[in-house]
Amino acid sequence: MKWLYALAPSVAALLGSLLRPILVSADPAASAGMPYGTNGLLGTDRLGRDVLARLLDGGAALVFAPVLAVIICEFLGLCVAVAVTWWPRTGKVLRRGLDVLLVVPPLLVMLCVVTATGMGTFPVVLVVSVVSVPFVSRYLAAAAAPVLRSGYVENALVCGDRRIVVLLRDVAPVLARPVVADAGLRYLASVYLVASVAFLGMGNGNTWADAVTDNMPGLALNPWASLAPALAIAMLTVPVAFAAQRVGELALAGSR
Amino acid sequence: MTELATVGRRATAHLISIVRSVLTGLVTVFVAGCGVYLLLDVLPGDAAAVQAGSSGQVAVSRLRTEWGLDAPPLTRLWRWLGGLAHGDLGLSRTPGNRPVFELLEAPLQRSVFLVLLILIVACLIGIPAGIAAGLRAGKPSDKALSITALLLVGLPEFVLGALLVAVLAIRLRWFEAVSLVPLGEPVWAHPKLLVLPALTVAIPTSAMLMRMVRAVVIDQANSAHVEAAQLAGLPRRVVLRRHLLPGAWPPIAQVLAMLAPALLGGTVITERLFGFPGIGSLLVAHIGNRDTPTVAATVGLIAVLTVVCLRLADRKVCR
Repeated sequence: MKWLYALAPSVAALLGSLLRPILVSADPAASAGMPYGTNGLLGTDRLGRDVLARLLDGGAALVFAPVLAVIICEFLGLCVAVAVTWWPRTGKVLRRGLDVLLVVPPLLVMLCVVTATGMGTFPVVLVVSVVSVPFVSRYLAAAAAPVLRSGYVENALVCGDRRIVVLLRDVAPVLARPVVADAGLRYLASVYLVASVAFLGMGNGNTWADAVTDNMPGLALNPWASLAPALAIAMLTVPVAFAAQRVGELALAGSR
Repeated sequence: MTELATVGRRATAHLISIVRSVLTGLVTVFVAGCGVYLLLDVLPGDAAAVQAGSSGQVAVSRLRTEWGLDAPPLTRLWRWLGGLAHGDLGLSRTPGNRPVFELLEAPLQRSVFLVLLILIVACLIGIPAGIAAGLRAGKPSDKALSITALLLVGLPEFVLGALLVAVLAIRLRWFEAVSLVPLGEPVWAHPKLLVLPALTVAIPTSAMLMRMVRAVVIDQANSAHVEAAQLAGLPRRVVLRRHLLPGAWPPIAQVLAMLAPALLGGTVITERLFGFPGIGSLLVAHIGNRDTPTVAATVGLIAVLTVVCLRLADRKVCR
Protein backbone atom coordinates (compact mmCIF):
# COMPACT_ATOMS: atom_id res chain seq x y z
CA MET A 1 0.00 0.00 0.00
CA LYS A 2 3.04 2.28 -0.36
CA TRP A 3 1.44 3.81 -3.45
CA LEU A 4 -1.05 5.61 -1.20
CA TYR A 5 1.75 8.11 -0.41
CA ALA A 6 1.35 9.34 -4.01
CA LEU A 7 -2.02 10.75 -3.02
CA ALA A 8 -0.49 12.87 -0.22
CA PRO A 9 -0.14 16.01 -2.42
CA SER A 10 -3.78 15.64 -3.51
CA VAL A 11 -4.92 15.39 0.12
CA ALA A 12 -2.68 18.37 0.94
CA ALA A 13 -4.33 20.35 -1.89
CA LEU A 14 -7.78 19.65 -0.44
CA LEU A 15 -6.66 20.42 3.12
CA GLY A 16 -4.85 23.59 1.97
CA SER A 17 -8.11 24.96 0.67
CA LEU A 18 -9.91 24.10 3.92
CA LEU A 19 -7.18 25.33 6.28
CA ARG A 20 -6.18 28.43 4.30
CA PRO A 21 -7.97 30.90 6.63
CA ILE A 22 -5.96 29.48 9.56
CA LEU A 23 -2.61 29.20 7.75
CA VAL A 24 -2.44 32.65 6.11
CA SER A 25 -4.09 35.92 6.96
CA ALA A 26 -4.18 37.32 3.41
CA ASP A 27 -7.43 37.12 1.43
CA PRO A 28 -6.82 35.31 -1.91
CA ALA A 29 -9.35 37.57 -3.66
CA ALA A 30 -8.16 40.91 -2.26
CA SER A 31 -5.20 43.02 -3.35
CA ALA A 32 -2.21 42.75 -0.99
CA GLY A 33 0.13 45.17 -2.76
CA MET A 34 1.47 46.15 -6.17
CA PRO A 35 1.12 43.72 -9.11
CA TYR A 36 4.01 41.22 -9.20
CA GLY A 37 5.33 42.76 -5.96
CA THR A 38 7.38 41.21 -3.16
CA ASN A 39 4.78 41.34 -0.37
CA GLY A 40 4.31 37.99 1.38
CA LEU A 41 6.34 34.79 1.15
CA LEU A 42 5.81 34.22 -2.60
CA GLY A 43 5.02 37.80 -3.60
CA THR A 44 1.90 38.99 -5.39
CA ASP A 45 0.26 38.16 -8.73
CA ARG A 46 -0.84 40.30 -11.70
CA LEU A 47 -3.64 41.92 -9.65
CA GLY A 48 -1.51 42.30 -6.54
CA ARG A 49 -3.12 39.32 -4.75
CA ASP A 50 -1.10 37.18 -2.34
CA VAL A 51 0.38 34.23 -4.28
CA LEU A 52 0.62 31.93 -1.23
CA ALA A 53 -3.03 32.46 -0.28
CA ARG A 54 -4.09 31.75 -3.85
CA LEU A 55 -1.81 28.71 -3.96
CA LEU A 56 -3.48 27.25 -0.85
CA ASP A 57 -6.91 28.06 -2.25
CA GLY A 58 -6.52 26.86 -5.84
CA GLY A 59 -5.74 23.13 -5.54
CA ALA A 60 -9.07 21.75 -4.37
CA ALA A 61 -10.88 22.36 -7.68
CA LEU A 62 -8.19 20.39 -9.55
CA VAL A 63 -8.54 17.42 -7.18
CA PHE A 64 -12.20 17.17 -6.20
CA ALA A 65 -13.86 16.86 -9.65
CA PRO A 66 -11.23 14.41 -11.04
CA VAL A 67 -11.53 12.13 -7.97
CA LEU A 68 -15.33 11.97 -8.39
CA ALA A 69 -14.96 11.43 -12.15
CA VAL A 70 -12.47 8.59 -11.65
CA ILE A 71 -14.79 6.75 -9.24
CA ILE A 72 -17.70 7.07 -11.69
CA CYS A 73 -15.75 6.14 -14.84
CA GLU A 74 -14.09 3.12 -13.19
CA PHE A 75 -17.52 1.84 -12.10
CA LEU A 76 -19.04 2.42 -15.55
CA GLY A 77 -15.96 0.97 -17.27
CA LEU A 78 -16.16 -2.15 -15.11
CA CYS A 79 -19.87 -2.56 -15.98
CA VAL A 80 -19.05 -2.32 -19.71
CA ALA A 81 -16.09 -4.72 -19.30
CA VAL A 82 -18.34 -7.31 -17.61
CA ALA A 83 -21.07 -6.81 -20.26
CA VAL A 84 -18.54 -7.29 -23.08
CA THR A 85 -17.41 -10.63 -21.61
CA TRP A 86 -20.69 -12.09 -20.31
CA TRP A 87 -23.09 -10.70 -22.91
CA PRO A 88 -20.95 -10.30 -26.06
CA ARG A 89 -23.78 -9.00 -28.31
CA THR A 90 -24.81 -6.21 -25.93
CA GLY A 91 -21.15 -5.54 -25.18
CA LYS A 92 -20.31 -5.22 -28.87
CA VAL A 93 -23.04 -2.60 -29.40
CA LEU A 94 -21.89 -0.72 -26.29
CA ARG A 95 -18.29 -0.80 -27.44
CA ARG A 96 -19.12 0.42 -30.95
CA GLY A 97 -20.94 3.37 -29.39
CA LEU A 98 -18.07 4.16 -27.07
CA ASP A 99 -15.51 3.87 -29.91
CA VAL A 100 -16.93 7.09 -31.34
CA LEU A 101 -15.58 8.93 -28.30
CA LEU A 102 -12.09 7.53 -28.98
CA VAL A 103 -11.74 9.55 -32.19
CA VAL A 104 -12.73 12.90 -30.66
CA PRO A 105 -10.08 14.59 -28.49
CA PRO A 106 -11.50 14.67 -24.90
CA LEU A 107 -10.28 18.25 -24.44
CA LEU A 108 -12.49 19.44 -27.32
CA VAL A 109 -15.60 17.75 -25.88
CA MET A 110 -14.81 19.33 -22.52
CA LEU A 111 -14.31 22.78 -24.09
CA CYS A 112 -17.61 22.52 -26.02
CA VAL A 113 -19.55 21.74 -22.83
CA VAL A 114 -17.72 24.14 -20.50
CA THR A 115 -18.19 27.05 -22.94
CA ALA A 116 -21.94 26.66 -22.65
CA THR A 117 -22.39 25.51 -19.06
CA GLY A 118 -19.44 27.06 -17.22
CA MET A 119 -16.81 25.20 -15.20
CA GLY A 120 -19.15 23.78 -12.55
CA THR A 121 -18.38 20.55 -10.70
CA PHE A 122 -21.33 18.67 -12.23
CA PRO A 123 -20.56 19.28 -15.95
CA VAL A 124 -16.85 18.67 -15.38
CA VAL A 125 -17.44 15.37 -13.56
CA LEU A 126 -19.99 14.29 -16.18
CA VAL A 127 -17.77 15.06 -19.19
CA VAL A 128 -14.57 13.64 -17.65
CA SER A 129 -16.42 10.43 -16.70
CA VAL A 130 -18.02 10.00 -20.12
CA VAL A 131 -14.87 10.66 -22.17
CA SER A 132 -12.87 8.29 -19.92
CA VAL A 133 -15.24 5.29 -20.11
CA PRO A 134 -14.03 4.02 -23.55
CA PHE A 135 -10.40 3.89 -22.34
CA VAL A 136 -11.29 2.36 -18.95
CA SER A 137 -13.65 -0.24 -20.40
CA ARG A 138 -11.08 -1.40 -22.98
CA TYR A 139 -8.38 -1.84 -20.36
CA LEU A 140 -10.65 -3.49 -17.79
CA ALA A 141 -12.26 -5.78 -20.42
CA ALA A 142 -8.79 -7.14 -21.21
CA ALA A 143 -8.07 -7.60 -17.49
CA ALA A 144 -11.50 -9.01 -16.60
CA ALA A 145 -12.00 -11.48 -19.49
CA PRO A 146 -9.60 -14.19 -18.18
CA VAL A 147 -11.09 -13.89 -14.68
CA LEU A 148 -14.73 -13.93 -15.80
CA ARG A 149 -14.07 -16.97 -18.02
CA SER A 150 -12.01 -18.84 -15.40
CA GLY A 151 -13.08 -22.20 -14.01
CA TYR A 152 -13.92 -21.07 -10.49
CA VAL A 153 -16.23 -18.30 -11.73
CA GLU A 154 -18.02 -20.66 -14.13
CA ASN A 155 -18.28 -23.23 -11.34
CA ALA A 156 -19.88 -20.66 -9.00
CA LEU A 157 -22.38 -19.68 -11.73
CA VAL A 158 -23.23 -23.30 -12.52
CA CYS A 159 -23.79 -23.93 -8.78
CA GLY A 160 -26.53 -21.29 -8.94
CA ASP A 161 -24.79 -18.29 -7.32
CA ARG A 162 -26.15 -14.94 -8.49
CA ARG A 163 -23.96 -13.01 -10.91
CA ILE A 164 -23.70 -9.98 -8.62
CA VAL A 165 -22.54 -12.21 -5.74
CA VAL A 166 -19.94 -13.87 -7.97
CA LEU A 167 -18.76 -10.45 -9.14
CA LEU A 168 -18.37 -9.08 -5.63
CA ARG A 169 -17.02 -12.22 -3.97
CA ASP A 170 -14.87 -13.91 -6.65
CA VAL A 171 -14.06 -11.33 -9.33
CA ALA A 172 -13.68 -7.97 -7.56
CA PRO A 173 -10.71 -8.98 -5.33
CA VAL A 174 -8.74 -10.23 -8.38
CA LEU A 175 -9.49 -7.07 -10.39
CA ALA A 176 -8.62 -4.68 -7.56
CA ARG A 177 -5.03 -4.13 -8.74
CA PRO A 178 -5.80 -3.46 -12.42
CA VAL A 179 -8.61 -1.12 -11.34
CA VAL A 180 -6.28 0.78 -8.98
CA ALA A 181 -3.54 0.98 -11.65
CA ASP A 182 -6.01 2.29 -14.20
CA ALA A 183 -7.60 4.65 -11.68
CA GLY A 184 -4.17 6.22 -11.14
CA LEU A 185 -3.73 6.87 -14.85
CA ARG A 186 -7.32 8.11 -15.19
CA TYR A 187 -6.83 10.46 -12.25
CA LEU A 188 -3.75 11.82 -13.96
CA ALA A 189 -5.61 12.27 -17.27
CA SER A 190 -8.55 13.89 -15.47
CA VAL A 191 -6.34 16.38 -13.63
CA TYR A 192 -4.65 17.20 -16.98
CA LEU A 193 -8.03 17.71 -18.61
CA VAL A 194 -9.48 19.96 -15.90
CA ALA A 195 -6.20 21.89 -15.59
CA SER A 196 -5.95 22.28 -19.39
CA VAL A 197 -9.46 23.73 -19.65
CA ALA A 198 -8.67 26.15 -16.82
CA PHE A 199 -5.35 27.00 -18.49
CA LEU A 200 -7.21 27.87 -21.70
CA GLY A 201 -9.09 30.52 -19.75
CA MET A 202 -12.40 28.69 -19.42
CA GLY A 203 -12.07 27.91 -15.71
CA ASN A 204 -13.47 29.79 -12.75
CA GLY A 205 -10.27 31.82 -12.42
CA ASN A 206 -9.22 30.37 -9.06
CA THR A 207 -7.30 27.18 -9.86
CA TRP A 208 -3.55 26.67 -10.09
CA ALA A 209 -3.85 26.29 -13.87
CA ASP A 210 -5.53 29.71 -14.13
CA ALA A 211 -2.70 31.20 -12.05
CA VAL A 212 -0.06 29.74 -14.41
CA THR A 213 -1.64 31.26 -17.50
CA ASP A 214 -2.71 34.57 -15.92
CA ASN A 215 0.73 35.34 -14.50
CA MET A 216 2.84 34.29 -17.49
CA PRO A 217 3.31 37.92 -18.65
CA GLY A 218 4.89 38.76 -15.28
CA LEU A 219 7.31 35.84 -15.27
CA ALA A 220 10.30 38.18 -15.31
CA LEU A 221 8.96 40.30 -12.40
CA ASN A 222 7.70 37.65 -9.98
CA PRO A 223 8.34 34.15 -11.36
CA TRP A 224 6.68 32.51 -8.31
CA ALA A 225 3.27 33.83 -9.32
CA SER A 226 3.35 31.44 -12.29
CA LEU A 227 5.97 28.86 -11.29
CA ALA A 228 4.64 28.05 -7.79
CA PRO A 229 1.23 26.86 -9.10
CA ALA A 230 2.99 25.11 -12.02
CA LEU A 231 5.21 23.20 -9.58
CA ALA A 232 2.19 22.47 -7.37
CA ILE A 233 0.43 20.85 -10.35
CA ALA A 234 3.59 18.84 -11.04
CA MET A 235 3.64 17.74 -7.37
CA LEU A 236 0.07 16.58 -7.81
CA THR A 237 0.60 14.57 -11.00
CA VAL A 238 4.16 13.19 -10.97
CA PRO A 239 3.85 11.01 -7.79
CA VAL A 240 0.57 9.57 -9.15
CA ALA A 241 2.32 8.71 -12.44
CA PHE A 242 5.03 6.83 -10.53
CA ALA A 243 2.50 5.05 -8.29
CA ALA A 244 0.30 4.06 -11.25
CA GLN A 245 3.36 2.65 -13.01
CA ARG A 246 4.30 0.59 -9.93
CA VAL A 247 0.78 -0.74 -9.33
CA GLY A 248 0.49 -1.50 -13.07
CA GLU A 249 3.69 -3.57 -12.92
CA LEU A 250 2.38 -5.44 -9.87
CA ALA A 251 -0.96 -6.06 -11.64
CA LEU A 252 0.88 -7.40 -14.69
CA ALA A 253 3.07 -9.64 -12.51
CA GLY A 254 -0.04 -10.89 -10.68
CA SER A 255 -1.81 -11.79 -13.94
CA ARG A 256 1.12 -13.93 -15.16
CA MET B 1 -7.19 -26.03 -58.04
CA THR B 2 -7.60 -26.40 -54.29
CA GLU B 3 -4.72 -23.98 -53.71
CA LEU B 4 -6.28 -21.48 -56.12
CA ALA B 5 -9.61 -21.75 -54.30
CA THR B 6 -7.89 -21.21 -50.94
CA VAL B 7 -6.08 -18.11 -52.26
CA GLY B 8 -9.37 -16.80 -53.69
CA ARG B 9 -11.19 -17.37 -50.39
CA ARG B 10 -8.41 -15.58 -48.50
CA ALA B 11 -8.46 -12.62 -50.92
CA THR B 12 -12.26 -12.36 -50.59
CA ALA B 13 -12.06 -12.50 -46.79
CA HIS B 14 -9.33 -9.84 -46.87
CA LEU B 15 -11.41 -7.62 -49.13
CA ILE B 16 -14.49 -8.05 -46.92
CA SER B 17 -12.45 -7.15 -43.82
CA ILE B 18 -11.12 -3.99 -45.56
CA VAL B 19 -14.62 -2.95 -46.70
CA ARG B 20 -16.00 -3.60 -43.19
CA SER B 21 -13.15 -1.62 -41.64
CA VAL B 22 -13.73 1.34 -44.01
CA LEU B 23 -17.48 1.29 -43.38
CA THR B 24 -17.04 1.13 -39.59
CA GLY B 25 -14.57 4.02 -39.82
CA LEU B 26 -16.97 6.10 -41.93
CA VAL B 27 -19.83 5.48 -39.50
CA THR B 28 -17.58 6.41 -36.54
CA VAL B 29 -16.50 9.69 -38.18
CA PHE B 30 -20.10 10.48 -39.21
CA VAL B 31 -21.43 9.90 -35.69
CA ALA B 32 -18.55 11.87 -34.13
CA GLY B 33 -19.11 14.87 -36.44
CA CYS B 34 -22.90 14.82 -35.95
CA GLY B 35 -22.46 14.36 -32.17
CA VAL B 36 -20.22 17.42 -31.84
CA TYR B 37 -22.53 19.47 -34.11
CA LEU B 38 -25.59 18.60 -32.03
CA LEU B 39 -23.73 19.03 -28.73
CA LEU B 40 -22.71 22.60 -29.63
CA ASP B 41 -26.10 23.47 -31.09
CA VAL B 42 -28.20 22.01 -28.27
CA LEU B 43 -26.27 23.47 -25.31
CA PRO B 44 -27.47 26.85 -23.95
CA GLY B 45 -26.44 29.98 -25.93
CA ASP B 46 -25.52 30.31 -29.62
CA ALA B 47 -23.21 32.08 -32.07
CA ALA B 48 -25.64 34.99 -32.56
CA ALA B 49 -25.74 35.72 -28.81
CA VAL B 50 -21.92 35.62 -28.63
CA GLN B 51 -21.44 37.92 -31.63
CA ALA B 52 -24.24 40.41 -31.03
CA GLY B 53 -25.12 39.91 -27.35
CA SER B 54 -24.11 43.47 -26.42
CA SER B 55 -25.95 45.04 -29.40
CA GLY B 56 -29.40 44.11 -28.15
CA GLN B 57 -32.07 41.53 -28.86
CA VAL B 58 -32.90 42.88 -32.34
CA ALA B 59 -29.35 42.39 -33.57
CA VAL B 60 -29.25 38.89 -32.06
CA SER B 61 -32.56 37.96 -33.75
CA ARG B 62 -31.33 39.33 -37.09
CA LEU B 63 -28.15 37.23 -36.87
CA ARG B 64 -30.17 34.16 -35.84
CA THR B 65 -32.34 34.50 -38.94
CA GLU B 66 -29.33 35.21 -41.16
CA TRP B 67 -27.44 32.13 -39.93
CA GLY B 68 -30.52 29.89 -39.80
CA LEU B 69 -30.31 29.47 -36.03
CA ASP B 70 -34.08 29.90 -35.65
CA ALA B 71 -34.57 26.43 -37.16
CA PRO B 72 -34.59 23.35 -34.85
CA PRO B 73 -31.13 21.76 -34.22
CA LEU B 74 -31.95 18.62 -36.23
CA THR B 75 -32.96 20.71 -39.26
CA ARG B 76 -29.70 22.67 -39.01
CA LEU B 77 -27.76 19.37 -38.80
CA TRP B 78 -29.66 18.04 -41.84
CA ARG B 79 -28.80 21.19 -43.85
CA TRP B 80 -25.14 20.91 -42.83
CA LEU B 81 -25.04 17.24 -43.84
CA GLY B 82 -26.70 18.16 -47.16
CA GLY B 83 -23.87 20.63 -47.80
CA LEU B 84 -21.27 18.03 -46.79
CA ALA B 85 -22.72 15.58 -49.33
CA HIS B 86 -21.85 18.18 -51.99
CA GLY B 87 -18.37 18.79 -50.59
CA ASP B 88 -19.36 22.03 -48.87
CA LEU B 89 -18.23 22.36 -45.25
CA GLY B 90 -20.57 25.33 -44.75
CA LEU B 91 -20.04 28.92 -43.71
CA SER B 92 -18.46 30.05 -40.47
CA ARG B 93 -20.82 31.68 -37.95
CA THR B 94 -18.46 34.59 -37.33
CA PRO B 95 -18.39 38.12 -38.80
CA GLY B 96 -17.58 37.84 -42.50
CA ASN B 97 -19.14 34.38 -42.83
CA ARG B 98 -16.05 32.95 -44.47
CA PRO B 99 -16.29 29.43 -45.92
CA VAL B 100 -15.10 26.90 -43.32
CA PHE B 101 -12.71 25.25 -45.78
CA GLU B 102 -10.98 28.60 -46.42
CA LEU B 103 -10.78 29.22 -42.66
CA LEU B 104 -9.18 25.83 -41.93
CA GLU B 105 -6.68 25.65 -44.77
CA ALA B 106 -3.77 27.76 -43.47
CA PRO B 107 -3.99 26.83 -39.74
CA LEU B 108 -4.23 23.15 -40.68
CA GLN B 109 -1.06 23.40 -42.78
CA ARG B 110 0.79 25.06 -39.89
CA SER B 111 -0.40 22.50 -37.36
CA VAL B 112 0.43 19.55 -39.60
CA PHE B 113 3.94 20.98 -40.05
CA LEU B 114 4.29 21.41 -36.27
CA VAL B 115 3.04 17.85 -35.63
CA LEU B 116 5.48 16.41 -38.20
CA LEU B 117 8.31 18.33 -36.54
CA ILE B 118 7.22 17.03 -33.12
CA LEU B 119 7.06 13.45 -34.43
CA ILE B 120 10.54 13.71 -35.98
CA VAL B 121 12.07 15.10 -32.75
CA ALA B 122 10.18 12.53 -30.64
CA CYS B 123 11.43 9.68 -32.88
CA LEU B 124 15.02 10.96 -32.81
CA ILE B 125 14.99 11.02 -28.99
CA GLY B 126 12.42 8.40 -27.99
CA ILE B 127 13.35 5.45 -30.22
CA PRO B 128 17.14 5.35 -29.52
CA ALA B 129 16.51 6.00 -25.80
CA GLY B 130 13.87 3.23 -25.70
CA ILE B 131 16.17 0.75 -27.46
CA ALA B 132 19.07 1.66 -25.15
CA ALA B 133 16.89 1.28 -22.04
CA GLY B 134 15.32 -1.98 -23.27
CA LEU B 135 18.72 -3.55 -24.00
CA ARG B 136 19.95 -2.60 -20.51
CA ALA B 137 16.72 -3.46 -18.67
CA GLY B 138 17.14 -3.36 -14.89
CA LYS B 139 20.56 -1.67 -15.03
CA PRO B 140 21.18 1.81 -13.54
CA SER B 141 21.16 3.51 -16.96
CA ASP B 142 17.74 1.96 -17.73
CA LYS B 143 16.40 3.04 -14.35
CA ALA B 144 17.68 6.60 -14.85
CA LEU B 145 16.09 6.82 -18.33
CA SER B 146 12.81 5.27 -17.14
CA ILE B 147 12.50 7.59 -14.13
CA THR B 148 13.25 10.66 -16.30
CA ALA B 149 10.67 9.52 -18.86
CA LEU B 150 8.01 8.94 -16.19
CA LEU B 151 8.76 12.35 -14.66
CA LEU B 152 8.24 14.01 -18.05
CA VAL B 153 5.08 12.01 -18.79
CA GLY B 154 3.69 13.09 -15.41
CA LEU B 155 4.12 16.80 -16.15
CA PRO B 156 1.17 18.54 -17.81
CA GLU B 157 2.08 20.13 -21.15
CA PHE B 158 1.48 23.71 -20.04
CA VAL B 159 3.60 23.25 -16.91
CA LEU B 160 6.52 22.05 -19.03
CA GLY B 161 5.86 24.87 -21.51
CA ALA B 162 5.86 27.47 -18.71
CA LEU B 163 9.15 26.07 -17.36
CA LEU B 164 10.72 26.12 -20.85
CA VAL B 165 9.59 29.73 -21.38
CA ALA B 166 10.95 30.73 -17.96
CA VAL B 167 14.35 29.17 -18.62
CA LEU B 168 14.96 29.31 -22.41
CA ALA B 169 13.05 32.48 -23.32
CA ILE B 170 13.16 34.73 -20.27
CA ARG B 171 16.30 33.69 -18.38
CA LEU B 172 18.62 32.70 -21.27
CA ARG B 173 16.84 34.71 -24.03
CA TRP B 174 17.58 32.01 -26.62
CA PHE B 175 14.07 31.93 -28.10
CA GLU B 176 10.93 34.04 -28.29
CA ALA B 177 8.30 33.45 -25.58
CA VAL B 178 5.56 33.69 -28.23
CA SER B 179 5.41 32.10 -31.69
CA LEU B 180 3.35 34.65 -33.59
CA VAL B 181 4.02 33.57 -37.17
CA PRO B 182 3.19 36.51 -39.48
CA LEU B 183 -0.02 35.81 -41.39
CA GLY B 184 0.51 34.95 -45.02
CA GLU B 185 4.05 33.70 -44.46
CA PRO B 186 4.91 29.98 -44.36
CA VAL B 187 5.63 28.66 -40.90
CA TRP B 188 8.90 27.02 -42.00
CA ALA B 189 10.28 30.48 -42.84
CA HIS B 190 10.53 31.14 -39.08
CA PRO B 191 12.23 28.04 -37.63
CA LYS B 192 13.24 29.82 -34.40
CA LEU B 193 9.58 30.43 -33.54
CA LEU B 194 8.87 26.72 -33.79
CA VAL B 195 11.50 25.51 -31.31
CA LEU B 196 9.66 26.09 -28.02
CA PRO B 197 6.19 24.85 -29.15
CA ALA B 198 7.79 21.79 -30.76
CA LEU B 199 9.93 21.04 -27.69
CA THR B 200 6.98 21.44 -25.29
CA VAL B 201 5.12 18.61 -27.01
CA ALA B 202 8.10 16.62 -28.31
CA ILE B 203 9.68 16.13 -24.84
CA PRO B 204 6.70 14.31 -23.21
CA THR B 205 5.94 12.54 -26.51
CA SER B 206 9.48 11.21 -26.76
CA ALA B 207 9.27 10.11 -23.10
CA MET B 208 6.05 8.23 -23.86
CA LEU B 209 7.57 6.74 -27.01
CA MET B 210 10.70 5.76 -25.08
CA ARG B 211 8.65 3.83 -22.51
CA MET B 212 6.71 1.99 -25.22
CA VAL B 213 9.80 1.18 -27.31
CA ARG B 214 11.55 -0.06 -24.15
CA ALA B 215 8.66 -2.46 -23.43
CA VAL B 216 8.69 -3.74 -27.04
CA VAL B 217 12.48 -4.23 -27.03
CA ILE B 218 12.36 -6.13 -23.70
CA ASP B 219 9.59 -8.33 -25.10
CA GLN B 220 11.56 -9.02 -28.29
CA ALA B 221 14.82 -9.62 -26.39
CA ASN B 222 13.09 -12.40 -24.42
CA SER B 223 11.74 -14.10 -27.56
CA ALA B 224 13.06 -17.52 -28.60
CA HIS B 225 14.60 -16.46 -31.94
CA VAL B 226 16.64 -13.65 -30.35
CA GLU B 227 17.86 -15.97 -27.58
CA ALA B 228 18.78 -18.56 -30.23
CA ALA B 229 20.77 -15.92 -32.16
CA GLN B 230 22.59 -14.91 -28.97
CA LEU B 231 23.35 -18.55 -28.12
CA ALA B 232 24.68 -19.06 -31.67
CA GLY B 233 27.36 -16.52 -30.75
CA LEU B 234 26.36 -13.79 -33.17
CA PRO B 235 27.78 -10.34 -32.34
CA ARG B 236 25.45 -8.11 -30.30
CA ARG B 237 25.15 -5.60 -33.15
CA VAL B 238 24.07 -8.30 -35.62
CA VAL B 239 21.51 -9.74 -33.15
CA LEU B 240 20.09 -6.26 -32.70
CA ARG B 241 19.94 -5.35 -36.40
CA ARG B 242 18.89 -8.68 -37.92
CA HIS B 243 16.85 -10.40 -35.22
CA LEU B 244 15.61 -7.99 -32.57
CA LEU B 245 14.71 -4.76 -34.37
CA PRO B 246 12.81 -6.30 -37.34
CA GLY B 247 10.33 -7.75 -34.83
CA ALA B 248 10.15 -4.50 -32.87
CA TRP B 249 9.36 -2.12 -35.78
CA PRO B 250 5.67 -3.14 -36.34
CA PRO B 251 4.58 -2.35 -32.73
CA ILE B 252 6.68 0.86 -32.82
CA ALA B 253 4.98 1.85 -36.10
CA GLN B 254 1.62 1.17 -34.45
CA VAL B 255 2.53 3.44 -31.54
CA LEU B 256 3.58 6.21 -33.97
CA ALA B 257 0.39 5.80 -36.01
CA MET B 258 -1.65 6.21 -32.83
CA LEU B 259 0.39 9.19 -31.64
CA ALA B 260 0.04 11.28 -34.82
CA PRO B 261 -3.72 12.06 -34.64
CA ALA B 262 -3.56 12.44 -30.85
CA LEU B 263 -0.89 15.09 -31.37
CA LEU B 264 -2.96 17.01 -33.92
CA GLY B 265 -5.84 17.21 -31.46
CA GLY B 266 -3.50 17.72 -28.53
CA THR B 267 -1.53 20.74 -29.74
CA VAL B 268 -4.36 22.99 -28.51
CA ILE B 269 -2.56 23.78 -25.25
CA THR B 270 0.83 24.45 -26.84
CA GLU B 271 -0.64 26.58 -29.62
CA ARG B 272 -2.50 28.72 -27.07
CA LEU B 273 0.52 28.93 -24.77
CA PHE B 274 2.78 30.26 -27.53
CA GLY B 275 0.13 32.06 -29.60
CA PHE B 276 0.87 29.73 -32.53
CA PRO B 277 -1.79 30.28 -35.24
CA GLY B 278 -2.63 26.62 -35.84
CA ILE B 279 -5.74 24.46 -35.79
CA GLY B 280 -5.73 24.27 -31.97
CA SER B 281 -5.87 28.05 -31.52
CA LEU B 282 -8.56 28.25 -34.19
CA LEU B 283 -10.63 25.56 -32.47
CA VAL B 284 -10.49 27.22 -29.04
CA ALA B 285 -11.48 30.59 -30.55
CA HIS B 286 -14.36 29.11 -32.57
CA ILE B 287 -15.64 26.94 -29.69
CA GLY B 288 -15.80 30.18 -27.68
CA ASN B 289 -17.75 31.79 -30.55
CA ARG B 290 -20.12 28.76 -30.72
CA ASP B 291 -19.24 28.45 -34.41
CA THR B 292 -20.68 24.96 -34.86
CA PRO B 293 -19.90 24.37 -38.59
CA THR B 294 -16.19 25.19 -38.13
CA VAL B 295 -15.82 23.14 -34.92
CA ALA B 296 -17.74 20.12 -36.27
CA ALA B 297 -15.75 20.17 -39.54
CA THR B 298 -12.44 20.34 -37.64
CA VAL B 299 -13.43 17.56 -35.24
CA GLY B 300 -14.58 15.49 -38.23
CA LEU B 301 -11.21 16.07 -39.89
CA ILE B 302 -9.34 15.00 -36.74
CA ALA B 303 -11.65 11.97 -36.48
CA VAL B 304 -10.89 10.98 -40.11
CA LEU B 305 -7.14 11.21 -39.44
CA THR B 306 -7.52 9.21 -36.21
CA VAL B 307 -9.54 6.46 -37.88
CA VAL B 308 -7.14 6.23 -40.85
CA CYS B 309 -4.09 6.10 -38.58
CA LEU B 310 -5.65 3.51 -36.24
CA ARG B 311 -6.68 1.30 -39.17
CA LEU B 312 -3.19 1.61 -40.69
CA ALA B 313 -1.69 0.68 -37.33
CA ASP B 314 -3.98 -2.36 -37.07
CA ARG B 315 -3.07 -3.49 -40.60
CA LYS B 316 0.63 -3.11 -39.87
CA VAL B 317 0.32 -5.30 -36.78
CA CYS B 318 -1.88 -7.86 -38.55
CA ARG B 319 0.87 -8.36 -41.11
